[in-house]
Amino acid sequence: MAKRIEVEHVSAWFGSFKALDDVTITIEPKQVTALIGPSGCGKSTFLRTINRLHEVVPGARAEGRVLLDEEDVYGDGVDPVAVRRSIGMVFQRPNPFPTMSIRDNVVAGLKLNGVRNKSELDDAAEHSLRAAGLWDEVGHRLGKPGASLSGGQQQRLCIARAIAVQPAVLLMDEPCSALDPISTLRIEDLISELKDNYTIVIVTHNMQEAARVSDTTAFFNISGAGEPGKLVEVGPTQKIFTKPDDPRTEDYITGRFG
Amino acid sequence: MAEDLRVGFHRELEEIDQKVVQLFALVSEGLSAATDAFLAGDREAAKQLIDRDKVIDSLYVDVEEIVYRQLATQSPMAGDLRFLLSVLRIVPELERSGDLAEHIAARAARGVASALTPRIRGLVEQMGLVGTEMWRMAADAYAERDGAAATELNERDDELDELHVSLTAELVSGQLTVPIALEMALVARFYERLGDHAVNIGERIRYIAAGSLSG
Amino acid sequence: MSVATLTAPVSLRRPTLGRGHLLLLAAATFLVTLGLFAVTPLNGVADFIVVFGVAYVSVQTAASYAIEGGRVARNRLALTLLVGAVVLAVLPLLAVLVYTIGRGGKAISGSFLSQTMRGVGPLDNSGGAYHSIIGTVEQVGLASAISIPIGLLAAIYVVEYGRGRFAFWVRFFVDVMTGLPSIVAGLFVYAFLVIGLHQGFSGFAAGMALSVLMLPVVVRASEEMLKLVPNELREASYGLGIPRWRTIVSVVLPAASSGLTTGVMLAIARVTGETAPLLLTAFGFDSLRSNPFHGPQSALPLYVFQQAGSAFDVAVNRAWAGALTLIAIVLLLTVAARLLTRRNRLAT
Repeated sequence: MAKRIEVEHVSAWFGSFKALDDVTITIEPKQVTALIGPSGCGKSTFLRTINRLHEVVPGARAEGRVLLDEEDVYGDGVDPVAVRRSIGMVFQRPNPFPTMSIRDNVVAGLKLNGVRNKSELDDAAEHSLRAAGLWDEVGHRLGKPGASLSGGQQQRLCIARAIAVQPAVLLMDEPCSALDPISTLRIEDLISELKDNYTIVIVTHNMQEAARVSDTTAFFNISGAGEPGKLVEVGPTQKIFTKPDDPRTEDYITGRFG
Repeated sequence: MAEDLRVGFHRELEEIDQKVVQLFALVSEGLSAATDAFLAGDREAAKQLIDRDKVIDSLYVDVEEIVYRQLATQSPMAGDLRFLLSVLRIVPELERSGDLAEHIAARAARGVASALTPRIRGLVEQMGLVGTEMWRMAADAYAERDGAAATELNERDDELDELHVSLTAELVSGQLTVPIALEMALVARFYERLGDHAVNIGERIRYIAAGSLSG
Repeated sequence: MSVATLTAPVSLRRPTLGRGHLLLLAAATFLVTLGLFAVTPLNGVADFIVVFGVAYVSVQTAASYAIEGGRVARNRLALTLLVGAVVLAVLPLLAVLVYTIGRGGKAISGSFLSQTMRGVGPLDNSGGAYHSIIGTVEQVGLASAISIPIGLLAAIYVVEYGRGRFAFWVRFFVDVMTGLPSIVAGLFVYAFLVIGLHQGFSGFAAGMALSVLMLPVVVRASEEMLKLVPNELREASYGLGIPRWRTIVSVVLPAASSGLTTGVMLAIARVTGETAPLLLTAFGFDSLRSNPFHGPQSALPLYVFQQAGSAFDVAVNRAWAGALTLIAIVLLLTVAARLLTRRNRLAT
């Protein structure tokens, strides 16, 4: 299920403003890759070029190739909706659909794409909720509205919703930054469990979190205000956090950089 | 456009560095002075050295406390983390070496040096010289974060070990009385151990510089 | 004021004017004004109220200034003036309501609500507004059936799809239409449908004119409600690979549903009371006309207009009853809309 992502010379624009410049990186399957860097360095933009969510913003465009197990998602004739169906995404603020129950939230990706069989949907819901570590807490009240859960639970619900469609890749844009420390640790444990079956890319502001949770870390940076973001260094997490190659990476990690 | 962030933390790191440099100075000068004091049988100098060791001990405790505080509160990473972890491994070697120099100086009071043959005396002088040189090298390597010094220190330590073997052979040859020979055996051992400590420090400095324990 | 005066240590306590004091002042001012009115040529309840009001505000401010200090006195004055303004604003509304209930309540009855004006002479004290009620219901119903779907779809286009110049012009024209005078809407339908297409007066024509007035309100309200749906919900849906139209139908519309309902109900309430367009389209009729597509029809606003224009009291009473009925219907719709919004705020 987990696929390798090969990014080749990807750049991204918002209108005429270049947000991301020439990023090339390989993201390995069954691993967690963390993207770190200061605000505005383009890491979230980069994440969204992988599942073609970037171009939903009016005036936004991306160039380059993103190969999902050899298939270019930006190729001619590729349907962006189909791409997004095979790549799951979890956002910074938990966003369960407010008018749907917990169960309907989890299977929304299946139901709204045409799966009708009730027992299939129920099975998928249970499977995803178990994988997200939420079944014990909500299995008996699947009919309750999705918004009635706590913040940490809502985020796990969103994770369950994302994996219910059995994506090859899971993208997470600062999934824990709106949560309290305990919920954060729960979700980090969950990510460690999930990586056996998925390729996970996580954007985070929190360096300790990147160090705890990822196998590979990539550091993005901007050279000044108004400049495009660039990939500075990528390597095994252990190395990046003890002896990175690039002095800019070292400066950012030790907090010497303003 | 680097803004200086974490000013307080950096000041603490500099304080640690200065104290470690101080410790190096105390130990290497202490070793040279201890050799002289021992060979001259100078009780006054010996007493001064014993007092100086107390300074080393209290400085050691200071450094450790500051390092623990940084580890607990500042979440150091990358270069800062390597530095702090290495300092934590270096200062005990410094403290122990200070003790060894003090032990050598203490023998001055017992008048051991007056009973030595010229050959043995010469060997002790040599060991003192090599040891002092090694410690100066270690101090410089630390100040410059020079990872390559570890190899050189290893070579000088081999020299020191050879001197130690020669000295032991001389002691066995029976020219000295048993009590004096026993004391000298201990002194020889002290010098040999001083060399080992300097080599260990070289390894730690290599970790700060290169980020790995092997070369 | 210097820094020194502002930051100089000062006691935290200060003398205040309590409620008892204020009542005393009010009573005193009242008596003085009474006295004033007794000895001078000043006369009349309205004048009394004005003089009393001005006098009391002045006395209160002076007393406050003397006892509580300048800052508190200014506060009190401002507060009093604001409260006064609110009272002045609400008073006419209350007056209308009270008066209508008073006069209409006397004339309203079961028979009023169930009879038409068929065969009722100018001096007869019988007859009712049943045909007008049916007319209003049918006409507003037709207007809603036309403008709600179109308005909603237009709003969906503007919010979800429209990015470029076209959306800008749509929004612009909707804004212009919001200001369209209701008589002009009526005139347009009159010229186009009643005369131009030879359809004659009808409830349907009235429905068309009302829909012209209702459409921009529905579009605007729906647009605002759709904009309120947080973008993260759309993103979550796109992230799951759900196509745009499906996202709108299954995620955005349900999330905005209560707001949309409220907007629609307010639009209906507003249009129910419009009179001018009905003059030229429905025209009015004495008996029940069940088929709105053929022939003139009555409606409540028309009924009120026609009855009130009569010289005879029996008719005027009926007008008040009709007015009361109209107000009741509009009030019901508005209150229901408000209750719906409140229920949703609690749910989120």
